[in-house]
Amino acid sequence: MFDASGALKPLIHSVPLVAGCLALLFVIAVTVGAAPKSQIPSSRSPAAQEPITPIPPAPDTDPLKLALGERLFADPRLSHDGTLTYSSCHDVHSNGADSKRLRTARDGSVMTFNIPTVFNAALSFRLNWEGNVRTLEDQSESSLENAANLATNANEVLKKLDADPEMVRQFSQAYGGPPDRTSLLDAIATFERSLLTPGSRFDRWLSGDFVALSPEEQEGYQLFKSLGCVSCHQGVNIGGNLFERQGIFHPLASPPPEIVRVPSLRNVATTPPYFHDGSAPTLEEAVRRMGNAQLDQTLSDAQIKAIVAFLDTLTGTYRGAPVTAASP
Amino acid sequence: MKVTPAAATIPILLLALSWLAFRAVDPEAERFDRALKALDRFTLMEIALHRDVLSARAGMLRNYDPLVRELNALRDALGRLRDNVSGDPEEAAAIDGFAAAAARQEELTEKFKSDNALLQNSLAYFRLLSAGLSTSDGSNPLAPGVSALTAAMLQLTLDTSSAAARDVAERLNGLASQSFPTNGAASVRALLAHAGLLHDLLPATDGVLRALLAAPSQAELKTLRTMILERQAQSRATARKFRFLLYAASQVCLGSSPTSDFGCAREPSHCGAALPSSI
Repeated sequence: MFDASGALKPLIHSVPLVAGCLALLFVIAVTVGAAPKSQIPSSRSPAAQEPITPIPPAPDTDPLKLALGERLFADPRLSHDGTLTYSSCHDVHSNGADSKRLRTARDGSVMTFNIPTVFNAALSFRLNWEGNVRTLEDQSESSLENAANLATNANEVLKKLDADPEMVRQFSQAYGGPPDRTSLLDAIATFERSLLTPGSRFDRWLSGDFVALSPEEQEGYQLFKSLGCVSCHQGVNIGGNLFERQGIFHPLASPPPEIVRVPSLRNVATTPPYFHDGSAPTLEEAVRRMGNAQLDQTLSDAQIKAIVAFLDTLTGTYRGAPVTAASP
Repeated sequence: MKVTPAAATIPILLLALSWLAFRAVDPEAERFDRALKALDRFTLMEIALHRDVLSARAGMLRNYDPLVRELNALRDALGRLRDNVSGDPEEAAAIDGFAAAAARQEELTEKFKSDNALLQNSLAYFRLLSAGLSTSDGSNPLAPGVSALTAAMLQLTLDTSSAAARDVAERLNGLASQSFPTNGAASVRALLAHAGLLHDLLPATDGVLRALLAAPSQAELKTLRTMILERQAQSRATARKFRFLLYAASQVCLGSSPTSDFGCAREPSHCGAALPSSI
């Protein structure tokens, strides 16, 4: 005879298993549904096909280290005579740089290079115009020790910080001990890694917001690609990921160095003057000279206007506010 | 309290058995595993790098961020490898050789990126300019020369041999020797400039690619992997030897006890505690 209870036994036993699987599927569905969509460019968004990708969110960071790094960034004790800070050259309340063509060094001489912005520096493969520094920690130490900049060294700074109980307390909370060279440089680099400027209109367009750019700006982007600017200015930082010779067809700026790290074009509308010697006061002039020197092209006024319109869309936000040009 | 000679030997036996047990567990095993894992990671990243430089050369990869990430991963793997070497000079020398090959690879990749950016740019320009100058309505006397140069350049993009480069040079010289029409002189000069650049860059870039893909690091990597595997095998053999010694010592310990037929029956903790469960 057919034993109904025997036939049902396996089914009855499998009920918890089925329920478990359904619960797991539910959890997966909820997790996937809750994933931040802006980080995953859909295949229909331009980002999937374009040579430029949107700026990612700033990395998750220990808030204590971040706060300490921010404080150190603006602390005059990080210069030999207490008159300069990192933010003296890199104003994060405006464009992450300054407005000067070339700064004057402590000895009265004129510095060789225009100050590059600290915004999105963490996304570049090398730092400085010459690209001779690999990490933000090394860059921080180099600035500390540069006689033209902060003109000090880690030991001198640590002595000053050790004498400040509040600073020692902050270091202990963030790093579990008193200030030392490693934690000092790490705190500054941690803050600098947070200096990303997402949310530009171009990034929104890349992420699928097709009305974020006007037709003229889109035309400027197409020109930027078809004229070959994008061969060097590509990737997440629109540059900053390769070295290139400057002045390929005609002279561009001061001759040395012949090879420069291609600068990022993020926030470029807010960071005049341009080139490593700061010799181009406006974006229009910079575009015209780049066309001539690097592409052997005399760009028309209409082409320059369209490309500048596109470049204007690369201005992002820091802490929710648009990046702005530095005060003269 | 009087200590018997038999009791006095117990601490010595415990020490000896502990030492044997320590040597028997192959204390170097994890270091070798980590070093081999770093080598595997390096190999994987190198394959990805080679795939991406080829994609970039073909115009399929239009940004260099993946190359940067792969080079960083190679450096990271190299750092892990260095963290897991012994103080052995032969091993250190092999890693130095490997690191030098990896540095050369990075240098070639940077050269490739710079050259390829110019190459892609000039190719795009060459296409635009030659299309504008090679009209077939007979209005441009330079059109045949431009078409001939375009055909030769197309060949050079596929075959960067010296014969193909020579052919481009001849077409370039032929076009340059003609008189330019007043209204299109700037375009012709730009075409010649980009074509001249391509004439140099196409063979040079492929030369860099060939050097990169020949991957001298592969030979260094093979040497290093062989060395690590040999050391790992030696370390395992030594550990096996000590496991056998530990087993033999335990047997002697059990058999030589005068108090019991089973040696440690009266004081099992003295001998039994030193026996690792793995035996």
